[in-house]
Amino acid sequence: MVDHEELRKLAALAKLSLDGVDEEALIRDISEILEFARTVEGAEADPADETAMEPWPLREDIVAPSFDSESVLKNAGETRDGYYVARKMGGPLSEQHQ
Amino acid sequence: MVIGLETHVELATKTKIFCSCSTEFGGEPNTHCCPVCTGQPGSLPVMNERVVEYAVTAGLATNCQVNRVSKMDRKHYVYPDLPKAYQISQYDVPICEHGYIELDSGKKVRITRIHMEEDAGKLVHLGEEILIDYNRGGVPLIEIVTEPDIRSGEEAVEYLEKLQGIMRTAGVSDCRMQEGSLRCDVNLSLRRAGTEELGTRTEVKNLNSFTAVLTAINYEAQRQRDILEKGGHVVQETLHFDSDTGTTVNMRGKENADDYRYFPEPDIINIVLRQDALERLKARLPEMPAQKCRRYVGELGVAEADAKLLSKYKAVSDYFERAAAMTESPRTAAAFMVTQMFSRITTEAERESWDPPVTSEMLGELLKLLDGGKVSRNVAKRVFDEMLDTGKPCTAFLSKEDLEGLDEAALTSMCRDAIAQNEKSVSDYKAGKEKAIKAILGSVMRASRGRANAIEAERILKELLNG
Amino acid sequence: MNSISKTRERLLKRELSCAELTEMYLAAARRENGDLSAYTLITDEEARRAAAEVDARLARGEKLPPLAGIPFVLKDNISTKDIKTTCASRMLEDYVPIYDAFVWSGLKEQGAVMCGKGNMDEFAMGSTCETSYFGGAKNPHDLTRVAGGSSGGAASAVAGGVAVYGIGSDTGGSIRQPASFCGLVGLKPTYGAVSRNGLIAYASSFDQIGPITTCVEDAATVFDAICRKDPADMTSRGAERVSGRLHSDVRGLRVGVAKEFFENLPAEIASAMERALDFYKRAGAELVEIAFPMLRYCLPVYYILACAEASSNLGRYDGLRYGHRAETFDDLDDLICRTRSEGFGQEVRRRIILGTYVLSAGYYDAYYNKAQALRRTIKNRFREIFTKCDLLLTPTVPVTALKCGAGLSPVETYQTDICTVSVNIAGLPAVSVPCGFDGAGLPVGMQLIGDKFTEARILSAALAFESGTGGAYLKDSGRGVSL
Repeated sequence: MVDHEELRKLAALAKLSLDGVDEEALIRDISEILEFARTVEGAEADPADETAMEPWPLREDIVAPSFDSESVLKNAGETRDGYYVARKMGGPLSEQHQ
Repeated sequence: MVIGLETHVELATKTKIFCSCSTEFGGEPNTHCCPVCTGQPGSLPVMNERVVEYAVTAGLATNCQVNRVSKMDRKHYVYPDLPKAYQISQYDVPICEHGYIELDSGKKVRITRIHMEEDAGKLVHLGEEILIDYNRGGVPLIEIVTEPDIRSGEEAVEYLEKLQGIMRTAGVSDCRMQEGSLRCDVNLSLRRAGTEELGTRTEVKNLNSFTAVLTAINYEAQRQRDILEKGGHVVQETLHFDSDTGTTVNMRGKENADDYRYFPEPDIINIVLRQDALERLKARLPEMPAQKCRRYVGELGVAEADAKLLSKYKAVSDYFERAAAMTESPRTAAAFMVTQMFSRITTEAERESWDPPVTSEMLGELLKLLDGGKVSRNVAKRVFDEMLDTGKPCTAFLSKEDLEGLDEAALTSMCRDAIAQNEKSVSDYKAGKEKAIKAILGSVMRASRGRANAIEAERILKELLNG
Repeated sequence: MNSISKTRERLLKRELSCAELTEMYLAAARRENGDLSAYTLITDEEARRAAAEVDARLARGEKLPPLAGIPFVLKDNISTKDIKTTCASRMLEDYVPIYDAFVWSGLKEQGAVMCGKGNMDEFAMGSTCETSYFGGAKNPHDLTRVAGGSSGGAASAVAGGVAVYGIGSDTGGSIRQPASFCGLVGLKPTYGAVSRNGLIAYASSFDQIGPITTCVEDAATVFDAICRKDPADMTSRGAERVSGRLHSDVRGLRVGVAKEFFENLPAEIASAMERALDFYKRAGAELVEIAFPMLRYCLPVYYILACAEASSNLGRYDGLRYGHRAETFDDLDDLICRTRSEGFGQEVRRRIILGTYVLSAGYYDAYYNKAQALRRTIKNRFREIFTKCDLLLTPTVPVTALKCGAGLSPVETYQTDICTVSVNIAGLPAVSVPCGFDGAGLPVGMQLIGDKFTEARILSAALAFESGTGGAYLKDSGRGVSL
């Protein structure tokens, strides 16, 4: 049901690398699960009901103290001067540097 | 050219859309943050009621239909400024739909929809690194999308100016392009004159001023024209406006259109606006610039050009209305303001904040004197200039005599003098030329340096001449 | 195994100090964890801090809340400030939250003594605890068998006598199934009764936090301590406390029996169910035949919707703000992809791909949208069912504890959730209660499902069974602390 190309597209959307993954096994598993999921096709659903919805109380627009930047950044792998850091090009051990 | 605009307006709430962090501009990076707006595991969004209020108000101010039940949806894409890898936005049931903004020409630019969403953080590109600051992350935005009703760069700018005026008057946003509280993307395609079919459209982003919008539209239209004239096809793409060169360039490296995988946000129950809450917002909606302008012209007799200027800025119109209330001639109040104040207060910023050295009460006082004939128009103008120069009230520039005007005896005496000095006019008048009295009156006015009450003077002259 | 009330009694009578009690549990936890893998982290420092405070309050003669001083295990997907919270995943192996989950914050305030964080299936995705990055928790009644999932660690700790009670989370059965496998009581509250703030999300519209205990009374006590409305969770409503409203009188109670839940049951489970039904009948309840044909769609509906939400909730793990971060990569996109592939285990990756598929353009209508429509339908069917009966009685799981490394295929594993997922689809409360043993002496559990916010009713029915059968189905594993 899912082929290699589809898997690659899904992996790209989901930001998952397929390196070292047994694509065949993954395709088999996903396809099996989808087959099982597809049974919903045959079911008949109730029509949507337009019952009146209860308004849910929302939050008041009052400022509360923020977390200090030290804790906000606490778990980040890389920070600089109060910023989170993402890297555009290869990490320290990447092939590019070797 | 066929143009549609997508504008993002930052709402002026105190806290972010889904958490109570401050929306205050600036600050050290990541100091207005919490687990919610940095997408920490286990955090949940909590909707800010004022965001809904402001979004509904924006819709009411632009003649939209408000959806009392709307929902939030997750829009998925991956970019470092989006901490959850999805943006909470609205997909198929936006809060407002089907409105319009009317241009001066009477043309209505239709608004397809207005929806609420959260802003992303800010990125700083530094060589190989991308620095991320989430202070702006979670700031509430409304996205306003128009139908492709706009036909020129000038119309686009006018639409944006009107939108700005409306949002500011409604009090929902500062709406400043330079500060990022008003952002605009342009969708443009060309259509052969006389045909219905729309051409391929491109999207232009990174427009930071009205000038940029105008330049970008003209450049892009020309670029597309050149392609089509050579027999080529316009590629549907997203372009980045380069303000240095005034050109649009393809955003290299930008991913192909993402599949956003929208689905309803499970952490937020539907947004339901009670009927009475909606009525309250309708009642509280301030008068919009267009309505004000019409009222100034229609009810207050203000000249149209003056009315347009005065209705554009809330602080100005408030000032005008206060002064106008003190005088019998709002038209004059308007004229004074436009001629003398606008020539001194020239920048947009100054006009918005409208903080002149002369208060509306002070202007009102001066106008009252004018009404009562205590001063002539010319004198009033002169005095007003001096008031604007110094910030002092009109009484500082009018002598006691000026204010009291001339008493009857002094006035009569001046009239006798004028009669004596204007033999020709006198004989003309006595010969039947009614208008000749004006010349004599002019003498009286000049002699009195404008202090004389013209009506009184004329009466006295007539008495003297006839009697 | 000790109950909360028994333990509390000892403390109040000053038979032992809280500090002593806590040391007993910490020592036992350490001793047994090699075998059980119940804990991902034993939190000595926090436990001792809490114990000291309880002792101080006792010394001052203060009246203590019901859970004060009682050692417990907190599932490791519930955020504990300054204490590692891993979700049993390499992705969060070293992650230390900067805030407390609402439930944990409340328990701390009440003087609860946390012995440690409970092992679990990675990101709560699994039914055996075996997808844990740290290796699965074992069943204290038979170490060659799983404790169940995803709250396997909590169940293992409680059944293993190294925690008096546990707090788990349930998305498709993750409290009830391990409770059933380990012979414990497991309550999944009504969706919205307990705050999800700080619970690291798997499937937002299904997840709910609840107790795993040795007896029904304890489940009620713990529920009462955690069922407050939380303004930081828009889906939370809170619930009324139940302790004062529990009773064992089932006369006139309409117990619904839907045959669909009883199809193809192994003989031992079928007979345990028979005995349970018989008990209620003899105690004066009325058995009502119920039809629930939608049951066969519950599993696919659950997996479609839960995986969709999971794929979305797990998108944030990209290594930039917290968690695992790949060291070698070519560019930003590669950094993110490698981080995620390295950080997530196989089952998690599978569910993310599945979730992405059912949400993607082209498939959204056939899968996600259809499943949503069926979810609505299932809710409607339950509403109708509860006009005909007061609660439904079903098996909790159609099997007893599986062997470790049984190597079932994904779909085979999912099938074991057949009795539990319908409850999460409809957001209903349900409790699993031990009601028998199989030939190998492994516990069998029965499930009581009620209408929304009827925890008092289902717990009362459970209490009636527990006391009426004289605790016949309680089984001490012989491990851990006994007071």
